[in-house]
Amino acid sequence: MAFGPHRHLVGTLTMPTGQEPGTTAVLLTNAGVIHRMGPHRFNVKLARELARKGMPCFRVDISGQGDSQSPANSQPFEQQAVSDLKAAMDHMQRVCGVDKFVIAGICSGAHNGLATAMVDDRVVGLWMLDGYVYPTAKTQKVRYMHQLKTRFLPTLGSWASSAVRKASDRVKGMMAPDSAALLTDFGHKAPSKEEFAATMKTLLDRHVCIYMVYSGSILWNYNYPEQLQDAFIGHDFVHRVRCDYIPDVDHTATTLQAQRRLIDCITGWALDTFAQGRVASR
Amino acid sequence: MNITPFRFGPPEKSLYGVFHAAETRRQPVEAVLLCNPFGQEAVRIHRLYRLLAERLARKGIHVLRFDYFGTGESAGEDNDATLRTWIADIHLAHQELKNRSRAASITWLGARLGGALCAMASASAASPPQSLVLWESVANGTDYLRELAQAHVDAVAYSIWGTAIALADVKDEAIGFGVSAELLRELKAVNASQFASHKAERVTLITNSGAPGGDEVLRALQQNGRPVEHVKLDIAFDWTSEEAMNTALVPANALQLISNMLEKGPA
Repeated sequence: MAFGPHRHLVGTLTMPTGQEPGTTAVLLTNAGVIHRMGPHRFNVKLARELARKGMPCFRVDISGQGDSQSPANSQPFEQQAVSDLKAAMDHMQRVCGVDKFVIAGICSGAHNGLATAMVDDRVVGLWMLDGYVYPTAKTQKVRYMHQLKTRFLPTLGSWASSAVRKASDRVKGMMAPDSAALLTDFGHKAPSKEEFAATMKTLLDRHVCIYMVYSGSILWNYNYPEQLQDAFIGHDFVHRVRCDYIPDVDHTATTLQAQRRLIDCITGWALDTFAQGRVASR
Repeated sequence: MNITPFRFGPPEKSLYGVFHAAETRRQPVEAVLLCNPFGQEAVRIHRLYRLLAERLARKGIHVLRFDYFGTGESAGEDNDATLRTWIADIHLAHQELKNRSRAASITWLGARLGGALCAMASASAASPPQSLVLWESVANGTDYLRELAQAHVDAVAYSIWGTAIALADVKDEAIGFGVSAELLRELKAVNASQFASHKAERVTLITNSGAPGGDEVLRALQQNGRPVEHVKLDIAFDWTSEEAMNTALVPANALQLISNMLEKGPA
């Protein structure tokens, strides 16, 4: 269906059949540049499973992605994505009478969901796969150990050539990027730790339920179960969010087994947390 | 731009389509049906098909792109998909495009497995297309399944550091898409020799540089006796690469060549 202020957005609504739809709907959006069916059709499979369990689901292409057009007066990418997700909620509210939403997103979809939650009180839940990542000192050690364990000789070779390259760069006067510049996620600049912690606190104080999942694809930046807690020692929010590290699942759910695992993960959480009436009574 | 997403076909097996209406008048009225490849290759080509459809619509050509049953936005699950159904879906989409465009001439363009499906579907079509454009069509189903299995193994190894699965263990899935026993059997039976009985008035075969199977497909098409044009495209297009990893989605030369070819229209 086409929706949005300029009818330029396209989405697919999956409604529960044979049962009263829940009062909370799930919004699924683009992961990177993949259209709304999701990587390996993951969003379609997830939406149908959620609908079978009673939760309405709306999969949307944000402006310029998938089958959606860019509006004539489009905003910068991130602002436009937030406007689009708000428009999706407006549309669902009109069509289905639902006024509470969970936004589930992978990678940039997670970033867009988080940004939307900050400006729209209708968002009561966030599920983020490989959203913003904050490595710790231990992350690097775990990575080195893992690299050596799984690919001993190629890893040593790679380290040797890297050392030579860095020495050569120093001689040529080329500077290494500063550590802040490394806080990126597939090309997307992450907020500082302080900004991220403040965002999470704001949302949790608003009773938004947050579930963060990290996959085995981002070994470089997230690679052990307690990393979030270690990265944010002293911040209360880490004890108020659910965070799982699932190393045998990848960033885009490439195997059917990974898809099943993630679908069970999000469906179980969404039903436990947002089944009819529970959110209203929180 | 006049772009209409819609559903068509029987409700229990509804298909998703996007109709790009021609933005300028052109005589005779022409239309193009874009037929998807399979699985990850269809994810990969989505952007290119969309841009191609927009470009052609601007030049006055109606375009319909759609998802087969059990794929993309259409009804059905991965394991519901069969080649027999997909061939019927192409016939249905052709009729839908004909109704919407009133075109005098319709071209089917199919990439990879979509190319093989177009050739086979045209052989059994009550109302065949005037032209076929087959882009690096799958020539041999067994070879194709082997390619997919290898791509699956590579994708898993690339996605999770230190993870490896054996080629022999890839049985009922291909890069994130379920493959039923029936689809597997049908795919194994795909062979370029079946393309010789196509009913289009003319065919264009596009092959990428260094890609296997082109000669086999060309020979089969030439056996038909109708005109065949062979165009070589100087790109190495990775059909199964993961879009999320910031790979080039739309090779400019491929888009340019194919859109120019379709804009020229029937000879």
